[in-house]
Amino acid sequence: MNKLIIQDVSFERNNQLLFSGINCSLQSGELLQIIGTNGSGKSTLLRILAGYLEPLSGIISWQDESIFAQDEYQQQLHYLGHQNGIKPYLTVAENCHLYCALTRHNIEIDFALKKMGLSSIKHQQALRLSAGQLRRLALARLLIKSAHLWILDEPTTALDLEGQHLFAELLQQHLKQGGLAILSSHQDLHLPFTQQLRLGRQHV
Amino acid sequence: MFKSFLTIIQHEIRVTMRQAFSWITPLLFFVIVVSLFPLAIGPDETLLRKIAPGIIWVAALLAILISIGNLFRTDAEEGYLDLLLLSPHSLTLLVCSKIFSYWFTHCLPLILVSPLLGLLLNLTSHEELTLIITLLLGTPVLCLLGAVGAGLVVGIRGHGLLLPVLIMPLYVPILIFGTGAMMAASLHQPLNGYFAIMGAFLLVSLAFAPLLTGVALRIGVNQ
Amino acid sequence: MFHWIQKRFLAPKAFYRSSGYFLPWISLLFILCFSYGLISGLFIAPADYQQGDGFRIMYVHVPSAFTSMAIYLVMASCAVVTLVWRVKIAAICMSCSAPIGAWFTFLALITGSIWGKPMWGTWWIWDARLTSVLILLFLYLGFIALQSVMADQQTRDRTGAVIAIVGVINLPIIHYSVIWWNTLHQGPSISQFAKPAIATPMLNPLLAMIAAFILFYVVILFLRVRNQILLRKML
Repeated sequence: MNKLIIQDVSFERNNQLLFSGINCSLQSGELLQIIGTNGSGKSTLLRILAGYLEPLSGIISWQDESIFAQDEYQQQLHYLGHQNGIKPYLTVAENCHLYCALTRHNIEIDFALKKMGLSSIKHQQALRLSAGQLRRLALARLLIKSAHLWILDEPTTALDLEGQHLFAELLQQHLKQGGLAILSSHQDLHLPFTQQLRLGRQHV
Repeated sequence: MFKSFLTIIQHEIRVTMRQAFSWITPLLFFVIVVSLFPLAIGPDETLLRKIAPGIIWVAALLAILISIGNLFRTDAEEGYLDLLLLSPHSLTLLVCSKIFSYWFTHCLPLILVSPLLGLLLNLTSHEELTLIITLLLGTPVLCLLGAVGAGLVVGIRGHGLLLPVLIMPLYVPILIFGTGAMMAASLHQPLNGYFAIMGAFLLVSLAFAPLLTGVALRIGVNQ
Repeated sequence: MFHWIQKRFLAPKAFYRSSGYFLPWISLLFILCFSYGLISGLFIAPADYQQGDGFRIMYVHVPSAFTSMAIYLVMASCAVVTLVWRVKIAAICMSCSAPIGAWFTFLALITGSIWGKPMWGTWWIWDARLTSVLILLFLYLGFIALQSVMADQQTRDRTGAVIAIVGVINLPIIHYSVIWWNTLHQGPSISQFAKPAIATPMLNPLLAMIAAFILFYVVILFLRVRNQILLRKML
C-alpha cells in the first residue's frame, strides 16, 4: 500500500504567495485531480510533488518519509510536463531506446509503441511528427517503465479523441494495479477521480 | 550500467551528428579566427611561429565558449532535462556523459585540424606534436569548466555573451600552461612538468565540475 | 559564540536590529583607523630609501587589494551557507558584497597603475599581482552580470552561490598560475613589483589602513543589507 501525504504546503514566487494550505492524502488506486485557471500554480505544485522544487512550507511524505529525504523517490514516479521530453532529431524508436537506457529498463519497446498506435512511424524522426503523435510518444513512456506514482501535467493536450480514450484506458489500468496518479487540468476531464484539489483565489 | 551510458553517449552523438551545423560551425570559426591573425599582423614567419601557441589556444578557447553555452539549453526546452533528473543514474555521471559527447563532437575535430593550422603558422613537427598533446589534455578541461557555466545559464533566455564572461577567468590557468608547454617545446625544453600539471588540472576538473554542474542544473531546471 | 551570532544575525529582523545597533560604533572605529592610517602614512612615516615619497600610494593600494580578496572570501563563505543551509541573509550578504568587492578591486588596479607610472614609466605592467587582481575583477563582474540577468529571487541567489564557489576554488590556482606565468616571461629588465622593505613606522599605518578598509566594507555592507531587507519586505 503506497501513500502520499501532502500537508500544509505553500509556495511563493518573487515574494508573492502562489498558494498555501494545500492538504491532501492519496493512497494506492486513487486519482487526484488538480484544477485551476492558468497561472494558479498547477504546474508548480506538480513540480513540487515530483521533487523538482522545494515548497516554502509544509511536508510531503511518501511512505511516511519526506520526499526530499529519500533518494529513490524520484525513481518511483513518472513526471510528464508540458514539454514531451523527446529529442526531435532522433527517431521514435531511438527516443524509446534512450529512455530505456536512462531508466535502466531493457524491455521490448514494440509493445508500448503498438499500444499507443505508433508502430507505423517507429523509424520516423520525431521532428516530423504531429503534436498529438509526440504526446502519444511521451505517454508511451508510461508503459516502458512501470512506476508507482504518475504525476501528469495536462496529459491530454493535443490528443485526439482516440488518444484520449487510450490515455483513459492506461490510467484505469494503472490505478487498478495499485498505482497512484495526480493529474492537472484546467477543465474537467470526466475521469474517475477520487479527490479534487482546486487552486485559485480560494487557496491564496 | 556501463552499457546504458554507452547507449546514452551514442544517442547524444547521433543527435549532434544529425545537426551537422552545430559542430561544423565552431570548427569553421576556429579555422577562420586563426587565419585572421596573419592577415592582421603580417606574414612575418618568425613572429607567427612565436605567437602561434597563443593564437591557436585562444581560438580554440573561443570556439568552445561560443558553443558550450547551449549544452543543456535544448535539453531544458525539450523537457529532457526533467527526465535526466528523475533517472536512477547519478546526475554527475549523466553530466559527464553529456560533456564527453560534446568533447567528442566539438573538440576532437579541432584537435585533428590543429596540425594543419600549425602548418599555416610555421610550426615545427615537434611543436605540432606538443600542440596536439596540450589540446588533448586541455580541451576536456575547457569543456568541463564550460559545462558548469552552461548549467548555470540553463534557465536564462538569450544569455548571449554571459557565459564567456563568466567562464573566461577560470580558463586562465589552463591557457597559461597550455601555451607555456608549447613555448617550452619551441625552446626544446623538457615538457613533462607541463603535461603533469595539465593532467592534474584535468583530474581536478573531473572531480569537481560535473558535480557542480549537477547542482546548477537542479537549481536552474525550474525556469 | 556561534549561538550569539545565530541569535543576533541570522533572522532578517534580528540582523536589522543588531546591525542598527553596531553601525555607529563600527563607523566610529573606521574613522579613527582611517585618520590615523592616512595621516601617519602620508605625513609621518619616513620616505622610502628607493622610491621616495611615491611609495605612499601603497597605503591605499595594498589595503584595497587585500580587502578585495577578503571580500571575495566572505562572498564565498556566504555562498556555501546559502547552498547548504539555505540561509537567506547569507544570500543577501553575498549579493551586496559583490559590487563593493568589485569597486575595491578596481581601486586596487587604478592605484597600482598610478604607483607604476613613476616606478617603471608605464601606466600598466603585466606583473603577477596586477594581473591576478585584474582577473579577480573579471570574476566579480561575471558574478554581478549573472545576478542581474535572473528574475527569480531564489534561483538568482543559488546560481550566484555556485559561481562564487567555483570562483573561490579557482582563485588560488589562477593566482599561482599567473605568478608562474610571470616568472616564465620575465625579461632581463627588472620589472618586479618591488614592495619596499617594511619597517615598523611604515607598518603600523599600513595595518591601520587595512583595518579601516575592512571596517568600511562592513559599514557599507550593513547599510546595503538593511536596504535589501526593507526592499524585500522581510522586516
